[in-house]
Formats: sequence, structure tokens, C-alpha cells
Amino acid sequence: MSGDDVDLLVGAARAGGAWAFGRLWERFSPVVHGYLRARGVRDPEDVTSEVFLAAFRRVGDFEGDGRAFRAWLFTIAHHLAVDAVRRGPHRHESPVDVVEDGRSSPSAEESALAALGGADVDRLLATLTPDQRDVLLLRVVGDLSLEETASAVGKPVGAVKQLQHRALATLRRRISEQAITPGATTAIAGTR
Amino acid sequence: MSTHDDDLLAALRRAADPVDRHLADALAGLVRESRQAVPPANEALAAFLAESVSPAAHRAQSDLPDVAGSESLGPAPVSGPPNRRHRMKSSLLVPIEKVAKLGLVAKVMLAGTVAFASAGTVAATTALTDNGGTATIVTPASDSTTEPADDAVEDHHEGVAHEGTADDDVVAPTPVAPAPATTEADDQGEDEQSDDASEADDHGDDEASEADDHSDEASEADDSSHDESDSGSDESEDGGSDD
Repeated sequence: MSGDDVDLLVGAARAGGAWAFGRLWERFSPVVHGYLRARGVRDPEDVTSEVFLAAFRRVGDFEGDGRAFRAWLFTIAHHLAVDAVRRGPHRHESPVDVVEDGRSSPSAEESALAALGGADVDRLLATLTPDQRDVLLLRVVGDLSLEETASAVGKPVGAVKQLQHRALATLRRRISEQAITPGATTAIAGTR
Repeated sequence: MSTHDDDLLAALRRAADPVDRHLADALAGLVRESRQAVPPANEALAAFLAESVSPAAHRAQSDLPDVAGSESLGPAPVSGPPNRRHRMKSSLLVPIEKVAKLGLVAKVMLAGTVAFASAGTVAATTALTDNGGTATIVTPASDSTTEPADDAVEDHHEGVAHEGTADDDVVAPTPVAPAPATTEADDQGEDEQSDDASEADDHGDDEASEADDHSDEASEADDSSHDESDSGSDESEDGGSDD
């Protein structure tokens, strides 16, 4: 779906075309769900529905194109994620036992990095502070610009740049550590 | 590498450091994973969508200009009911027009029928025959003998004088027996009847021509009126000559 199509869908939804709600849900719900899941929200499916419910109820007051609508969705998702984390235990906050991998691996740094899977990414993200993780996920999964991310999290653009810089530095350090000591990969989640 | 670019993943991939490239790959995997499937909507959202779609359909039926504001957005959600509505409207309008025409035609036909019926009783007197002291009246409808001749003549002549109308439907009675003589009253009545019949004929033609302007049905009525009047006058003439 192109940006023009999204613009048209948003325009239709603003004009009261309820048929566009379903199309917008199909278009954006996977990425919002992915953001919430990576953000560590306990019930990402339910919170995703709440995000769109709030957006559709207020879409008449929304002003902007498809790009702005996307940023607006992630702003709502960010606030609901913060509320959800406050209400219940954070998924990433649950203690993870450190499981030592006793296998001795002769693999080099490249092979360790290549073996970095989805679960490992989650563990890497769990090593970040909530603000760092928010900024990084909004930038990567939400595909928001620095300005849009700053607006979503309610911080200045400079602060967002700083958070992003520190997040990337942390991840680089963790990845390098995994490459050096591959046996400790599964222990990352418990090191926050 | 500038990680302040809007496309953060592209910036990481362009980096010289292999750690950044692998980090970019890991984050790209996260993006791919987040775009895989549409999550199930919860009950509140499903109810909202179902609720909002129904009024939207009603708005599309009742107020098309509002929906047309987004006409470039794709197919309209509802297309059937508006067409059904227009069909109902047209199907109502056409019969009303026809009924209006038929009403006018019916008035003309009714006036003509009243005139014909009243004049029919007058014309029936032309068929009087004196058959041995018993008058025989042959009416177009019954073709039977009913009244004595003298009474019939009086009644008939009174009707002609007072009503002053004639009937093209009057069929000149077929004489039961050849009439040897014609009374003065018969002659007088026949003259008056023929004059009145000609006036009524003109009058009927005017009315019928008015109806002809209004509708095809009027034209048909006019034709039938003419046919009947023609046949009636022919038969009347024949009957008169026979007399």
C-alpha cells in the first residue's frame, strides 16, 4: 500500500467513511502490535485494539496525512504502553534465569553475530532503559523520524538523539560481548 | 555513520563496523516480524467497527453528497438501496401521470355516455311502429316490444323537447313490419331527433377531439366514439329511408 493510498484512507476515515477503518487496521495493526510486543507490553493484542479504538474515535479531530496518522498512532500506542506497564508486570521485567551454555564453540565473532535471532534481539532490547527502548523501537519499527519520535514520547529532539545514541552504543557493546563470549548469550536478558 | 538519519536501519547497514551491520540485520528482523500478521481485534474494537459501519451505510443511502466527498477513495460501500429507491420513485410517477390522463378521459367518456344514454331514450321513439294498435318499440339493447305506441311517442317527444340531446349510440330500430304510413307526430319527432342528433354529434366530436389531445387512450375513445356514431348515423339513415 503506497503512501497515497494511506493518505486517501485517512482522509476517508476523517470524513466519516467507516469502511476505511478496517483498511487502516489491516495496514497498521501489525507494526503497532510489533512495537507493543517488543516494548514488553503484557497483552499486546488487546492494547493494539485499544490503540485503534482510541484513534478511530478521535479521527474526526485528527489533522494530517497518512504519515502524520502513522506517527499519531504510535503516539497513542506509546502512551497506552506506558499505562499498561504501570498497571501490570512488564514482560521484560520478569526475571530470566541465566542459563549457561556449556558448549564450547569454536565459532568466531561473525558466526555469533549471524546467529543473532529474534529472541536474542528481544534480550538485547531488554538491556536498554525504557526510554532508550522506546526511542529505538519508534525509530525502527514505527519508522518515525527524530521529530516524530520526539513528539510521540514528549521529549525534545535533542534528548531523543541522545537516547538513540546511547541505545545503539549499548547494543553494540552487548553484541560485541556476545561475539567474544558466545556462551553468555542467553544471559543477556537477566542483566538489565 | 550518522544514526540521526531518518532511515536508521539504512544508516546502520552503511556503517563500516560489522557490529553495526549485524545490529541492522537484527533490527530488520524485528521489523519483518512485526509486519507478519494482523493481530485479532478485541471485542471492544470489533463492536465499534460493526457499529460504525452500519450507520455509515445508512448515511450513504440517505445523503449521497456527504459520501461523495470521498468519491476518489474507491468503491462506495453500498450501491444497491439508492437504485431501489429511484426505481420506486419512477414506478410511482408514471402511473400517476397515466391516472391523470385516464381521469380526464374518463370524464369525457362519462359525459358522452350520459349524453348517449339520455338521447337513447329519445332515439328509441323513432322505431315506433303501429302494428294493429299495438306499438312496437325496438331498442338497441333489448330489441323487444315494451310499450304502447302512443305513450311511447308522447314520452319520446317530451324527452326530445326537454333534454335537447341526442345519442350517437342510437341504433335505428329495425322495423318489425313495414310501416305503411307515418304520422305527423312521427315525422316531427324524426326531424327534431335528427337535428338534435347532428348537434350532439358535433358536440361529441369536440369533446372527443379535446380528449385526443391528452392521451392515446383518449384517441382510442375518440375512435370508438366515431365508429359508434358513424354506425349509428348510418343505421339511422337507413332506418329513415326504410320508413
